[in-house]
Amino acid sequence: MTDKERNNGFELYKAFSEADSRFVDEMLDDDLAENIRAANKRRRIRLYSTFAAAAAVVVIAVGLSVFPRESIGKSETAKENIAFGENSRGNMGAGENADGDALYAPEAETAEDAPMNIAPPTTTAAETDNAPKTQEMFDGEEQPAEEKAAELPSSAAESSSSKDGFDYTGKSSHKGAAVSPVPSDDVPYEETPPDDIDLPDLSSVDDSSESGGAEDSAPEVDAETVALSDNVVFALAEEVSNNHRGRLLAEGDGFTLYSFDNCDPEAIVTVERDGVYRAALRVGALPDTLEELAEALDLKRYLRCEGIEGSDTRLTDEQFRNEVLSDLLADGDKLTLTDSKPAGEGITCLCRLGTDRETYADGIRLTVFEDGSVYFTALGMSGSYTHEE
Amino acid sequence: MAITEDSEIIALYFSRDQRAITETDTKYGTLCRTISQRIVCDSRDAEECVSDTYMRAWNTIPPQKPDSLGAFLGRIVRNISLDCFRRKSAQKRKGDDIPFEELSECLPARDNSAENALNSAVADSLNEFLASLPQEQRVYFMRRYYMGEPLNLIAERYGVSANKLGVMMHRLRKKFRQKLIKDGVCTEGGGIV
Repeated sequence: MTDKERNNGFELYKAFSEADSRFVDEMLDDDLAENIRAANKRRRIRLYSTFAAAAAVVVIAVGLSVFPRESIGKSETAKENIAFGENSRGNMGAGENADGDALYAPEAETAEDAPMNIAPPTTTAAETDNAPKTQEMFDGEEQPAEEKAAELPSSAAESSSSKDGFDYTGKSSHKGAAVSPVPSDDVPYEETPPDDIDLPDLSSVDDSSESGGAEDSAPEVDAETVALSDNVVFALAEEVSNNHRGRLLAEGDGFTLYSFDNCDPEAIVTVERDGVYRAALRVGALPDTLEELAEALDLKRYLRCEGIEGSDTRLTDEQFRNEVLSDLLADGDKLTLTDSKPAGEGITCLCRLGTDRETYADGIRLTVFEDGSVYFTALGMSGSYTHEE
Repeated sequence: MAITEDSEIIALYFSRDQRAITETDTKYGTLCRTISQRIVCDSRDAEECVSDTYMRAWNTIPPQKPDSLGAFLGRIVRNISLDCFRRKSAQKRKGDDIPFEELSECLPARDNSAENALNSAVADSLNEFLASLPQEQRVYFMRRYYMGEPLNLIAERYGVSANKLGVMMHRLRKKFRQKLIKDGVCTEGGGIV
């Protein structure tokens, strides 16, 4: 008897001969195989869609919750100055080489001078290396808007690459000029509020820059708000494309409230007014740290993965691709790991997800921590999410 | 015209009609050859095993009347092929893709005296384990360890990535090992009880 035969794996393999016949039939069933194949395809599409939407939400939420509070001030004018550029309205973000850490561009930016680019990341290399777990990782030293504008057009890529240590120059498929928002007519949505929506009735809309219609007990609000009768306040954020509009939630006087993509309407909604769509974040529901934010938005399942627990765990690129990303995204083959490096308590990876038609994120940076959590940042949103099977 | 229903083929066996062999080969020949080929890694040996399988089926039906002819033939051809493999020198095998080694982590090596320890308890544990799995995972697991199918072929058939399958197989083997330990088939240290 050879060593291989003496190996119990051989005997266990032989034991499979005694497997119940129904399991064998199941294994040979071509119809079942077709069903599983179709289910896997649907699952993959759903994950890609959700991941892309999640990335968009994180970009918006981080931008809204971090920068305005600390660097911009509370006036409406100041807020307008740091809004997304005109061309990002339909695209939910910026173009090539833009970093998700720095989402703001001066309002003066136009389609001609900087079609999709946004300000270069303000995060320093040291900050990136340390990969802080909180919003600090997205919150660099503030920079006057004029300085940001001066750096914008051609130096964004270099600045972005050099500051965070990644080389973005290989990403050439997402060009600002190629962005073409999905026409709203293509999106079939409900036209009347469904009966089963839990949101309370709209009572008032306050467009002031103060805390709006919120009661004393409501959180303080610095921006325009939409207040609901039960003190639920949504702070209006930047304009978004209406292709992020979800189901109809409620109609008010001169405005309409929709959900935002597939996100929890308790955390983020889309407000349409005079044909303009704006994201609106639930005041008080969006915490300061990204991890809490992800929990608030019910994204945790997409940010958690198994297999990397343990204080001494360090994953190689291959392990990361095989054991983390394949779980995270169901189909790791579609995700290209373009760079990775140790970062503080974890490992930071720069990835490309899918093809141009499968996600509107140019790239995704994930920082995996030893406790199993994964933070991601969408890099350079290309905007045209036109999934085709 | 080929018979497609198992019951009709089995009826031919019962009537001792030699067309039973032909119809069996038409419907299950490819499956049997595939299983055997993956074990013995030699087309001539595989063909011989398949012929022996048909012979054994002819001799055992009747009195046996299998519910599933595919599972019945699969069991026979696996056993015959594994016996054939055992007869041949393992060193002569060209392919090493039979996943014995992978399963060995579930039940570590032991000495010859315990060779008969693979008894119905193991089969029971296996069937309980398979029954506990979600259907999708069970199918993957069976394709891998019953059919001996490479991961890339399984991935292609079910539209899932080979990477994901590899990770899943690793986890399922760990679960299977835990099941065997829990059922007392082997100990935590690796010895068979």
